[in-house]
Amino acid sequence: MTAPLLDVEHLTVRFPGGRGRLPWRRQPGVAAVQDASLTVGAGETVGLVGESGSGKTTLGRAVLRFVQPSSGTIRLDGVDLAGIGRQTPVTYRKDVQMVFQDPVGSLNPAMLVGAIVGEPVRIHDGLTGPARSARVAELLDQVGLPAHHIGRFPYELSGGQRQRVAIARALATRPRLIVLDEPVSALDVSTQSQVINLLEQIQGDTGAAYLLIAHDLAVVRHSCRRVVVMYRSRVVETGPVEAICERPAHPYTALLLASIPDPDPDVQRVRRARRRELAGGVAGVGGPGVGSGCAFADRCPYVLDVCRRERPADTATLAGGTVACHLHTSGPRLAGRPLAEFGNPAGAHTDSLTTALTTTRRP
Amino acid sequence: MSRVLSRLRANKVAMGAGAYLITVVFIGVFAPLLAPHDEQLAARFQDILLPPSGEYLLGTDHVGRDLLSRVLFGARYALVAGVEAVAVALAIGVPLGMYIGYHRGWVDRVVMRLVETLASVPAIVMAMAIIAALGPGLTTAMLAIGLVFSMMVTRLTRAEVLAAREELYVDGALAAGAAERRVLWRHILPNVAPSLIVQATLLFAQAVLAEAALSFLGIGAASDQASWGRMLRDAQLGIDRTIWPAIPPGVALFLTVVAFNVFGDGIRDAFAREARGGRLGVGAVRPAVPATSLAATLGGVPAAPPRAEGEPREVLAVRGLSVAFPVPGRSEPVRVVDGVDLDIARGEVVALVGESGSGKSLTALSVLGLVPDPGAATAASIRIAGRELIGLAFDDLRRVRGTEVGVVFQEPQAALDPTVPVGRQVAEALRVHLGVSRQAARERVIELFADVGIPHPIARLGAYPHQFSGGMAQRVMLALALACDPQLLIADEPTTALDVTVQGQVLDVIRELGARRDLAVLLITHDLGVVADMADRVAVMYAGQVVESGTLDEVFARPRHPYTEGLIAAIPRNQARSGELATIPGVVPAPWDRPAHCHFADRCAYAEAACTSGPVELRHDRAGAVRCVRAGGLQLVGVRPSVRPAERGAVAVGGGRR
Repeated sequence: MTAPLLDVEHLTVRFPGGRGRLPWRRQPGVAAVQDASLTVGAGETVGLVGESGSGKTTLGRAVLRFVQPSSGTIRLDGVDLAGIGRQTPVTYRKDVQMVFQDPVGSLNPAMLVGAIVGEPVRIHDGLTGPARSARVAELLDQVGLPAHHIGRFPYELSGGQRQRVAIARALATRPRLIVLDEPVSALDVSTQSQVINLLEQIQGDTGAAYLLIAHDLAVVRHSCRRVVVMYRSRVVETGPVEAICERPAHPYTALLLASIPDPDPDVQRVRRARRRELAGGVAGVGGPGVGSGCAFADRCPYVLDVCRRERPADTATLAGGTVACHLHTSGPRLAGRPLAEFGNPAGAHTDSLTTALTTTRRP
Repeated sequence: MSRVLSRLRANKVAMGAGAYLITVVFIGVFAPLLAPHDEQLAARFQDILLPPSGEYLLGTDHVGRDLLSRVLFGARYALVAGVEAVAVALAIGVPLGMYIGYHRGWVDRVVMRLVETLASVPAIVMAMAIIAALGPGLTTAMLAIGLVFSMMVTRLTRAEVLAAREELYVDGALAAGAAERRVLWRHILPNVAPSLIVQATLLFAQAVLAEAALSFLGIGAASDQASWGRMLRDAQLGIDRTIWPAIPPGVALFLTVVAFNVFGDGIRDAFAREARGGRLGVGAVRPAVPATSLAATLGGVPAAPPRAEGEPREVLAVRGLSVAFPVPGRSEPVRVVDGVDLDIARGEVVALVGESGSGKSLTALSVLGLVPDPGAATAASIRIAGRELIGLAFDDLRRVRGTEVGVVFQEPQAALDPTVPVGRQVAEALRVHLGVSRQAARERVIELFADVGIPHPIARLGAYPHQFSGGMAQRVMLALALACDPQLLIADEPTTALDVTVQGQVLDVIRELGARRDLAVLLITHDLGVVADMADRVAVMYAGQVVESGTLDEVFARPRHPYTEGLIAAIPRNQARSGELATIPGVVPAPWDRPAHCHFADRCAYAEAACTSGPVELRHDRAGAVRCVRAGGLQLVGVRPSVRPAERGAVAVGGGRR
């Protein structure tokens, strides 16, 4: 097997704390990402899912080298990023691009669309004048924007159009990997599906790999083959997307899935009941949960004594991923089998997780 | 930029100041041509301290020089002094501030301590020290002043760059491969320039003043240079005989400094684009003129199915609500919300669904009489708990709003006062609206906090909003909204800013409290899943109009408007992938671009000639209402794609949906 395009291993990103009472003594920092590993193969889309504060965006920014890892390695094509020096080489910028969540903030308000998209063209291809304009028009065409948008300012465009401009800028360098940080969550429903389809079509045309960061598992399920779930700075589960969405092995993943409201009122009623079973505690109550135990222990309906004492180790799942949960090594010893095989935490409910999550009325 | 200039042009006072400054520049440049006498030589040595006369329009000074000529020349010295000082300040301050603001680190700390030290010495004293070292003279003096000013510019630039550095577009430029120098000069500088331009204008005024002060002290302009400060110094020599020679340079100095300050303020206002608008007005909703009410324009179609008068279960009843905003370049205000009818009964949750720009939030705000500033709402009738709000005096409206309606917004942290403990915020609402005692209010707040599921309510009373997570803060908002025991709860995207696992909990609280208190709930959201989780009835809005309404199950399982179908198809659901997502082509038209015919026709896959022939009315029937000329003839797919079209059609027809 060839090495993956992007290989993140045991990545930890720690933000320095503020100054303490003595100005030279720093308060302990916050670890935004702890011991996280993931890979993205060439031309593949991998989903990175988590709630706000889970560290998913920080991980993406570390790949872009906007933040420095405290430990762990990030390799692109087998080359360790730590070895390429403090200044990020232009070739790396050419290979790895990013599309941000906020299509308003990510485009310079003082620049025309043509200049925004033309900037990487000029830097990486060295094109100027008419050649550059032609390439910009080609890029805009690739994202479905008419060429006359070159002379517009970002504020003159709608949210979806701005996100297309951001995608065109990312495509300008013909990157091999694009980090998509919540690319559609600021967009309206009808625009959102246009952009998702556009991203898929571009991947088909260019073969770029995507690291899709999102809080919405439904979007990730639609677009990705593999998914990585993060909770409070740690990876809790990885695996093929269908296995994770149908047969999650981690209680947090199961809660996340049951929390996505479905527009079918009948499905939603079942899903709501399932969510209530899985929500052991009230979110946002209790300590930060980053002590020695599992970060999800406070909210987990399956919680065991060991969960509060020891951090769970990664266990291989039957589906071919990993899960970090004591249920797989202690107590019921699921050993990588889906959580559903353990039954419901309340015990009374007989619905298996699978049916609860996938009730559709297919003939 | 053109918008900034047009805003500046609209500011009469600033334009007056600008015109004055242009005159000063003109005088400064052409002083030798304009001055009737030489700035230096006395016409006749004996003509000293003459009052104004035909020959010397402003009189003469203590050595017989013409004051008018010297005042005109003074403009030249003032301008040269200002340009020198500001140029020095910007040349040092901008690059330095940009460097330390961008890089931070120890250089930043060292430079900032230096800047703070220098800034703590008065500018004039600083300048005197430098002049002492370099010798007197106008240029030396202004270099010294410029050096002092550069500290201010450094600080301002650094602060602006620090903020701009965190903007996403900087990350975007870095990701695009832009080198640091390019990021600084091409991306950051244009965005911090407005503040710098304003600061430079104000510094110009200070520089002119400082020059005058130094020259007055005799260490600025030389005795043969007719600077205004020098003239004041000269006037002082003859002060025992007349104060007149001090007045012309004094007035010139005063006007110039004021003009620079006013002009600088004008520029700042012009750049502050968000300074106006976006504020919630407090205007009451006006009664709709009959000619513009929906019923009238549509030829007497009843706005809603007739209901029994005085039906006690009806909490909110809105008829023909429209909201219009003035749009620059248009004589008529543009209707953003267009003829919305809405009914909510006790114990019922009605969801208003739509994309941004559909007018759903404005509809809710108008019900409260809270229309954003330049907008105006009109309605044929808005009744809350049986009370007609149209035509109500402002104070009465406020009372209804305070006691009968509770509101929850999208951003709980923004809606709570960050400086007041949450317990007191809720208690205040109770005391203002219900007039209860401090102790009773406290007990009621504890009860409310327990109701909305805040753990340890007593301990949390004294906590500040920032100490709550998003979900907990939204519970506080709910407690605040329900404090006065309202009959109507308006929840505007209550969970959009929350994490998905928290969203369910907050929705649970709203649903359970709504049921327990028999509340009428108006839920505004773009998320069809949230609608399915909460609503009894649904109204789908598109481009300012309700396009379809009915019970949740009817609308979602058997949509009758193509837009509803498109919305349902476009959302990725937690299901195995089955090809590309469906899309609705195009974008929602801007309010001023809406066609007269069906607003959705241009994006609709089912559109035919009849769709573009004229306005489409909202037709009511037993199952709800739909605004589509092809309604009934279309077989649309809802949330259950497995329901076969034939079957759906049969249900639609057989269910008496026509």
